[in-house]
Amino acid sequence: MENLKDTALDIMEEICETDEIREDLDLDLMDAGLIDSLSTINIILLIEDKLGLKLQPTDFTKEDISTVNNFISFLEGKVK
Amino acid sequence: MVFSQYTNVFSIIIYSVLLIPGIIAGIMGKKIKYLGMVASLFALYMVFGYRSLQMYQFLIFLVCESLLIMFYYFYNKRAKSDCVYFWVLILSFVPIVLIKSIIYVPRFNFLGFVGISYVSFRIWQLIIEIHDNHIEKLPFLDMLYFITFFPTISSGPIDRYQRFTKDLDRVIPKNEYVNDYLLIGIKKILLGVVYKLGIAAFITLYIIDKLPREKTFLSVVIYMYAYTFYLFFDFAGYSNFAIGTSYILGIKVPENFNKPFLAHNMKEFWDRWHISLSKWFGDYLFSRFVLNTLRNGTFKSKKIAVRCGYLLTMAVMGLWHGFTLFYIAYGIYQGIMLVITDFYLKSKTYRQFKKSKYYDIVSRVICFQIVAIGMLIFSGYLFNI
Repeated sequence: MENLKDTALDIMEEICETDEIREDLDLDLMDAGLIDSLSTINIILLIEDKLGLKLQPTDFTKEDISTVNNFISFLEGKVK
Repeated sequence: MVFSQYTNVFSIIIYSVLLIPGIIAGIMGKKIKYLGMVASLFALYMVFGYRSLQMYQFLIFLVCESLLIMFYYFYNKRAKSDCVYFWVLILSFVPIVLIKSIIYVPRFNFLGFVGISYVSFRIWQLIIEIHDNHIEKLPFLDMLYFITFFPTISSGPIDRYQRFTKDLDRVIPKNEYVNDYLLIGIKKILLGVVYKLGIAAFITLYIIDKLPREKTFLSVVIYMYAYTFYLFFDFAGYSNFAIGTSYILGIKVPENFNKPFLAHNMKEFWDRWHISLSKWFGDYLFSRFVLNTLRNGTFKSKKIAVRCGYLLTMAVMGLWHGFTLFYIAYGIYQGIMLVITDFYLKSKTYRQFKKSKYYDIVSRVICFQIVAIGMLIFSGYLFNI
């Protein structure tokens, strides 16, 4: 599961274009203006690229990508 | 006799009477689901009329579409086929395309029934979600109740199956029902009365109906602003009735409006106006179009894919309102405005302007003008001679 956490962090770093996200895993990314409604599409493409997992926009809820920690548990749930 | 939903105090009272068994069950802390289904049967009789042409069309439509959905649900459990998915979707489009084309064939203009546009969204959502394997169980009664849920049948809000059934199977504790469902529901219905039967009716009676027959520049401008406010209060009022009634039946239907005229740009506007519709298009058309065109390499850059996605989505949204010139023009207008907004939001001008102290007021005023021009096109006022 350590690997998955790294992948999740890599994906979020690429989406938010800052490594600051690694410092506070519970930071609300939407509030901080780091992600918007279009980020889902980039996240799906990156997950496909890195994990070979094909997802749809409706697989996510807003909460699933609102913080890095939520995103990690979302990915863990999908990979299981 | 047909009772159109929520158009006058009398019909609101009649429809409210149907809620009484559900309210009693809710207050006693019992499950409302089956009482809601019974109420729905009576309400559908009232919406379409007993043994009326509308009722027959609605029933035939319902039987065909449910058979199609059930067929696809069981088929998809055994085998995955994109070809079958494609044809199931095409078949599900047939009734709405036929009925929307009727305007060009006056001989058949008796065809069509209330709510087909909105009911179709629920059907398409089911088919797409079955394809994505997001639907584990599809009990027949739940599916029918979802598709025909009467509070939202004529004009939404457009709910989602998974969210709907989660509410449906929940037994709500007494206190929670009274405070978070019944009282909020009643409050929403009263707000709906003020919006639709008060403010919207006032605007029609004292402004729109008073305009001269001959169009002048001034009369068009007055009409544009009056109609924009009228449409908001009429539709938000209707939505409040629909949402309030749903709450009383234990279903927390999603909201449709969130102070749309306070938006700073058109992208934000669509997060605030007719939200359940724009979210639906966002999830099932726009983002899938962008994803698929990027996956198969039609577009190299995401920016271009997104902009084409806006144009396509808004054009389809216009068509969905009706196959008339002004709806199509409205869709194209909204698409172009979103593309311009996308350029604007990525520009340096925007980043600098955002820091200015006039940002809030100036962008809201400009955005409202863009909205109002859109509503003028949508109203068809310019198109009738």
